[in-house]
Amino acid sequence: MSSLRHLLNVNELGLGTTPILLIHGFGCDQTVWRRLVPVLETDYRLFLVDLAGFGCAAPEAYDKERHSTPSGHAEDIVALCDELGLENAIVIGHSIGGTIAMLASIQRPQAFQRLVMICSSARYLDDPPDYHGGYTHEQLDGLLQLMELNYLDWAGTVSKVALGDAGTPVHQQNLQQRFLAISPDVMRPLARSIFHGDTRHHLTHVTVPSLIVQTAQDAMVPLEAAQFLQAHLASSELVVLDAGGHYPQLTAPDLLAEALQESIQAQGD
Amino acid sequence: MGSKASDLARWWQFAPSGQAVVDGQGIILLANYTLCDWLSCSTHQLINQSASDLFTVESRMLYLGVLAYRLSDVGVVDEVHLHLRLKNDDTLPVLCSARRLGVEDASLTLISMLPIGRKDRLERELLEARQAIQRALEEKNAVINELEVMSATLESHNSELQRLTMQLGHEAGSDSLTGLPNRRHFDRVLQERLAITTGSRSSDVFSVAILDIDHFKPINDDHGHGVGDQVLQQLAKLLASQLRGRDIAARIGGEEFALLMPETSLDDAFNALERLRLAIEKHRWQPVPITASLGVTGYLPGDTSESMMTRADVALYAAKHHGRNHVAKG
Repeated sequence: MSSLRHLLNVNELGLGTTPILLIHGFGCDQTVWRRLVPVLETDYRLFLVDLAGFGCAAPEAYDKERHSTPSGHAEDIVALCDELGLENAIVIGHSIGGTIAMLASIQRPQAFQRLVMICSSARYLDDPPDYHGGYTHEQLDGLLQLMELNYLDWAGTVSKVALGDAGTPVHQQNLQQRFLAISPDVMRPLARSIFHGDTRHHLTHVTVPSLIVQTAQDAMVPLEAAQFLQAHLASSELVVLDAGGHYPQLTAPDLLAEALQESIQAQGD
Repeated sequence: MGSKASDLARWWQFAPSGQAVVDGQGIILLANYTLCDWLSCSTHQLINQSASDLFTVESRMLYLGVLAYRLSDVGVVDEVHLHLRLKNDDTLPVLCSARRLGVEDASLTLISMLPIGRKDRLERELLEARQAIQRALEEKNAVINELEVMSATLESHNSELQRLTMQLGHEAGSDSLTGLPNRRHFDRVLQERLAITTGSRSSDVFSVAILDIDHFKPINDDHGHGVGDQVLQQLAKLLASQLRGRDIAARIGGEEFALLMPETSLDDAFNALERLRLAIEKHRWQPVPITASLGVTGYLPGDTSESMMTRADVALYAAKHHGRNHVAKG
């Protein structure tokens, strides 16, 4: 049994002592953090991870059943925290990576001093009259159909690392296996589980203080969904960045780092 | 010359594809007339809007997750299949490609959208056909699974049937009163024994005997058939208890029993049957004491079951003639 550190292609960098674990979202890999890394690496010890089925995670790390749900990926993160012996760490998750981080923090509250969820949502599907996730049933079905028409592009998004076009060193991986790992068979069940999923009932079990980061114009996650997270997570704060899009770590890394630092210092005071 | 070039550049506005220039935060800075025409609005209305707002809700996630993400990542995106949101809830399928512009300001990108109504329809039909096939395949697999379960059930029924048939066969080969093998079974075993002995050309010896209860008819006449049956059952038990491992005893007639004694010479068989005769004589019979007469013969080369049984029968006759309660060789 290989270590998860190896299986999930964990890269450790930075000069600081406080550990930060960074978890990417759907269809991405750890390179999504590359514009944030230079801002954080002088003050923190960073752990970058590729979720099973994505990026340079080893093909043997992928389990068809387990990795078709966010909680399956959260199990990996819990085991990884144990393996790394993480204590007092900050865990940052983007989009579904935030949900995965949230689920992991319930299992290992002692490992984390802070949970950061960037552009995450507890549920994409509307639940009228009280919950606005941003999507109707028909729209989510339409989205999944559109993903089928575009699946090659989703695949392309992930596979570029295999071609050596990445900010982090590429591990020796069989290119063929990499392409197999990102087949629509990996994407389809997880996408279904993410977009039709509901993790609202987990939120009240979170004890780690949290920071919710949302962009001012995220067409993927409505502000109400971020407000819902903030309202239902104990000792949480919501920061809305003056930036557009769903990827502030790429489009506004400085603003994001600033919000992080402020929140961490405020907690320290 | 210069004016000509600018005239030509004006045609960018009427290109057969929608074009927009977008900044690093996804805000539209410039759009051509074609795009404005599709969306039934003016250029001014488009400028400063989020580019993601041009698309249907379904498409926004892909616009952000694929197009915008890859643009900010590698600066190049090709052929993303999205739907523009038109007036009156209409949609227009477009194939989007985008490029990061220039080197100075890396955050500016040009997005080019080609209308693909026919291609979209065909692809959807293909996709739906594929999904229908997938569903049919899943249904087929479910049916196959069901058939496999049924076949397993059938198989277990079959083996039960086989067991019952064997039991029936056993019952057909046995005598229902005593539980001993019947004549048919005895004949078959004797035939098999003869076939083995003849085939092997070895000096294999075995013996066959016939046992008949002395004066059995008066027992039935005097005490009734119930008592006669009891006697037969007690004798069957006694025979079974006296037999050696490979010996076989069968009830071949009313009060007539046959014995097959493998690997037993005529003399050894005679001695064993003498002990058996004595055991019958000494047995505490209830309610009527009986004795038996026995005729025994050994295998001779060229023997058939008929020739052996005839010799045994002749010997039995001799035993009876000798005064009964006697063993005679034949």
